[in-house]
Amino acid sequence: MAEPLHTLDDSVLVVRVARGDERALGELHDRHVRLALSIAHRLLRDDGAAHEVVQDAFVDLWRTAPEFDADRSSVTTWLVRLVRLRSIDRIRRDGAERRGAGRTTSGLDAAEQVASGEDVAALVQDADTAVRVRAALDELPPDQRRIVELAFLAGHTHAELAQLLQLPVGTVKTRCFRGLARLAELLADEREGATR
Amino acid sequence: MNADHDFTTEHEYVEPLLAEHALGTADVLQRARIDAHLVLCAACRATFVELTDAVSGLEQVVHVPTLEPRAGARETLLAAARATPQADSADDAAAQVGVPRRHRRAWGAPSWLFAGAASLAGVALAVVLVDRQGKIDDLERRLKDARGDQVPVLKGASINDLDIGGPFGDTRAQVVLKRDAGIITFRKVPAPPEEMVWQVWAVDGDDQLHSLGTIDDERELAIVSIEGVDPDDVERIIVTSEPIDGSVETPDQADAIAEATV
Repeated sequence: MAEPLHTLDDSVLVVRVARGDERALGELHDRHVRLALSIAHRLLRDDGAAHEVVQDAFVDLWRTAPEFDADRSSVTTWLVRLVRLRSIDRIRRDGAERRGAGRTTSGLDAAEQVASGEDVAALVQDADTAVRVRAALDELPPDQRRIVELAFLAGHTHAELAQLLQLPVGTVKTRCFRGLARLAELLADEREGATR
Repeated sequence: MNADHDFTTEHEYVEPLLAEHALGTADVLQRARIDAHLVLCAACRATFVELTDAVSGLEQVVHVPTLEPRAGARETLLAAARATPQADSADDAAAQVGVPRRHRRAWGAPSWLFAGAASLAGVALAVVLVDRQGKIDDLERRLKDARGDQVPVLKGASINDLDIGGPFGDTRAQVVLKRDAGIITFRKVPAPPEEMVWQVWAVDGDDQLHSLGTIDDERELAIVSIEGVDPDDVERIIVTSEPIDGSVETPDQADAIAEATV
């Protein structure tokens, strides 16, 4: 008798999705849709757009499942990327329409809100996790941390960040890369420490 | 030596952009260029995987359940999936990023990393195509009216390496059409005139004009994906300069058309 879907690992479900198993797609949707909605809603700040983007991202997952390599990364990382790409493309498309209509872009509005005080660690709900994330972020030089947070939270390009922060694009590029790379190291160390 | 030099130059350009790509904020053309490099560069692939993991890790720790899925969302998704064909293999993703078929099985890269970006690039360009359909129709009509005065800029074999002049200026950008990969590469593209972008068009065998996207700045290498037209049907590539606000210059203005010689 086949195992119930809810007992299967994400990577097994993706293999089934790649074979055209719609029920496996439904199970992945049920498991991760709230995370996906959280990402899309934070970036887009619009309920309707967030729902649309998340559905599109899950359709992307369905379409590209045969190309997924579970040895390289997790299903969650893959889905997070699909949702972020969809959301950021939506921000740009809507922003272009607003510019065409003579209105300001929501992206810069969002960045200004972020710049006014919102930060990644403040959004973390779980207290223990918040401490660890804040510690990792605190390890970053302030100029790198700000740029990583702005790009992460509001989905801004280097060019937009350069405009917002009045910095050369090259400086933003360098700080963003160094900051995110350092954060990746710190979070990897954290994960290793947690599994020891 | 040239290949090594090109690879090193490309690596130096792409590596600092990996963070922006991992965050999902790189623009469509940058995504294509970075993905093309990731296929060839194991070091950048490893870095990129680490960076995407970091972004994913951050997303998971800041996860706030702000929205509940709509009633029927699951059923709507499954209906959409039923209507959406799945990719056959990594070949499709590889084609999107310009990997020759003979190399596609050997690269060993995490193709899903590219698949999302490549497919979304297609979506973005499709949006451009839809948004500008009226302008394209007008441009097509004017182009036909002007036929004879305008020089076809690209035609022929599966791979062409041509010079483009006209508004590209004296530096003469090199254009390569890779039909099997479904992309066009432009090398040494000078900056467009102030407040303008380069708009790339494909003309098919029925003289239909297809918008392929824009190049917004000076580029050592720009990659434009061929969308909305079979790459084998592309007979000419036309480059116009277009105002950055999206209004299309008409091709009967001579300085808006790039000319090339085979």
